[in-house]
Amino acid sequence: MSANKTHPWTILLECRQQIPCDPCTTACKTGAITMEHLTDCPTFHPEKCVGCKLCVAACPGQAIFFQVPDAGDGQATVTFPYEYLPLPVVGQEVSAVDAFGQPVCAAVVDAVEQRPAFDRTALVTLRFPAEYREQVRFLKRLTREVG
Amino acid sequence: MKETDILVTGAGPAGLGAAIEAARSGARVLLADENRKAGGQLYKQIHKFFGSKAHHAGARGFQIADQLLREAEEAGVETWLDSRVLGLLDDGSAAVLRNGVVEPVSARRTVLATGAKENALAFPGWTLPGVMTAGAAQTFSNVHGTLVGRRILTVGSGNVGLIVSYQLMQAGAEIAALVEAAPQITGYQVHAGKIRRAGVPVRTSHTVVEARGRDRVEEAVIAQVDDHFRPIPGTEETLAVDTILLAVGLTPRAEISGMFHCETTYEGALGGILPIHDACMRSSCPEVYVCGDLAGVEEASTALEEGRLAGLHAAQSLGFSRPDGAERMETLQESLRALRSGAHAARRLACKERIIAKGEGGSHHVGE
Amino acid sequence: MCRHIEAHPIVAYPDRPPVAFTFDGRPLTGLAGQPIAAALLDNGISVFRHTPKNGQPRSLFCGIGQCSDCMVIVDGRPNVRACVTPLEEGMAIETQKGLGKVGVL
Repeated sequence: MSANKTHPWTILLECRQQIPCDPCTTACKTGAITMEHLTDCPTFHPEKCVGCKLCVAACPGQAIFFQVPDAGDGQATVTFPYEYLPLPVVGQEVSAVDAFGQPVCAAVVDAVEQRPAFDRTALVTLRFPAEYREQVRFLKRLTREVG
Repeated sequence: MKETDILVTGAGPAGLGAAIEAARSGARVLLADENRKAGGQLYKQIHKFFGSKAHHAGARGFQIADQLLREAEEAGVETWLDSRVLGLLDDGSAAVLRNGVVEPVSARRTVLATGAKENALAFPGWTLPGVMTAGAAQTFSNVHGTLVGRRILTVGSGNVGLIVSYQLMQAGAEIAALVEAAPQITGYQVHAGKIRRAGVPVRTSHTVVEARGRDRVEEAVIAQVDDHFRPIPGTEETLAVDTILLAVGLTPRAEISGMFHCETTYEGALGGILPIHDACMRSSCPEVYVCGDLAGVEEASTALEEGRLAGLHAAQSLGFSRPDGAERMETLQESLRALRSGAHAARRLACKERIIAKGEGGSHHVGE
Repeated sequence: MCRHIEAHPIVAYPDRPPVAFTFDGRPLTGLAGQPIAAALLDNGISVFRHTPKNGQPRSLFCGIGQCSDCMVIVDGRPNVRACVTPLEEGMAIETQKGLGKVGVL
């Protein structure tokens, strides 16, 4: 998959089951995600997307990923919701994993965004070799110091 | 004797919805709940909810609870906490155990929103400390701030098992595995996706066969099951865990509706024996409405809408009318239809249609 | 096994002042208003009672006051549901052995 012609990024909607849920359509202020009925799977209209990532944080199923397939130097980035402690820090080297938690490659934390509009859900962006962009969806959870 | 127009038993999403709508219609409403805090299970739900804006989708459960409690107060609902509705007295009034004393409450309509109870699963060792319902672990983690274990086996892949597993990882625990006796995950794929990305092995066609330990769980034995859910000898595996969570379904709490002699039916996919009701949530007993998990285990969003419908209709049946009443009724019915549309809800919808057909049929409401 | 959650990515727990209590005579510290069961679990105690016939250990099971598995003796009063009873300063909590008749512990 490559980014659409309008933008260097794309939105991956990995929501493939008819469940009654539409916050992505109301989180999006530009009408780039739509659905006709509550249990439809969402449709993405790339030309309307402004790349704000509000949908990534809003999706109750955490099934929306923000991807930059070609982020320069043969690297790609993917942004996903992260609701664990501790949060990774920018520049940290982590293990990127796939949708099943299996290690894919090494990655560097490119951004950790926390905004009031995200309601406590942090968005983490990983940078990694572009050849792995179809697989990388998360990072191996960082262990907490336990008392 | 306390007198009120409408008594609502249970202050979860269904009861709150009923109380708010009825009070907004002008009825005097008494909302009784056995807990020290209203909100039912909503305060334990720390994830963002499904549904659409009308169902507060996108908000976390505890935020929805805060809002409903505010709305109930603004609407003038009288709330009794730490007040358990025990049942009916001989004169037809409800017996409410409050501050250690039974107070009779006489109501012209009663809305039952007693919710559901978690099912248990019996296997050797299941009584050991460390084996508990998923809801117990969720309550302690999300409300009380106590993590019940560090390395956990979850039994059951419905939404409860999936969500609680995710939430316990958020609180700092490790989920060693999640077993599901069915050949496929029964909850939403997106909920399963959260714990799978975090590396939790989801083992379908597997169940727990034994909990081992001296004074608490130290090991769990899991095994593969055949097409009839029987463990296959020789497939046992031992997991080092300190906690086993049971997320094996919910059963409607129909005891009080039974005391009202509400007619029941059996719908396995909605939790078992439950009171029948018509399209407005009225039971076979004209003074009694049922809603939420009691009327069939679904989700908080459906419970809230059923409650609103019950409260609105109960008030209407007493002559409290609102200019927007008919429109509101239609909106709520449409909202419930939307929540029950789609392939994943097909079974629930079929159950509900059967229940309502039974509730609408017969001669229950003669003279009403 | 169990522990108090100090930091959570989503939940802001209420501030609760520490209180002293005893369990089977052992002085311990908990948080005012937390359920007795939470205070015991936070202190690493997972056996709350022993069954009348076989003396088997029992603990938290339903967590919402429905199942009676977690009953303890509080200030001499048996059959107190640890999961829904708030902890108070100075409580003397004991393991309940059997039915826990009043005055016969």
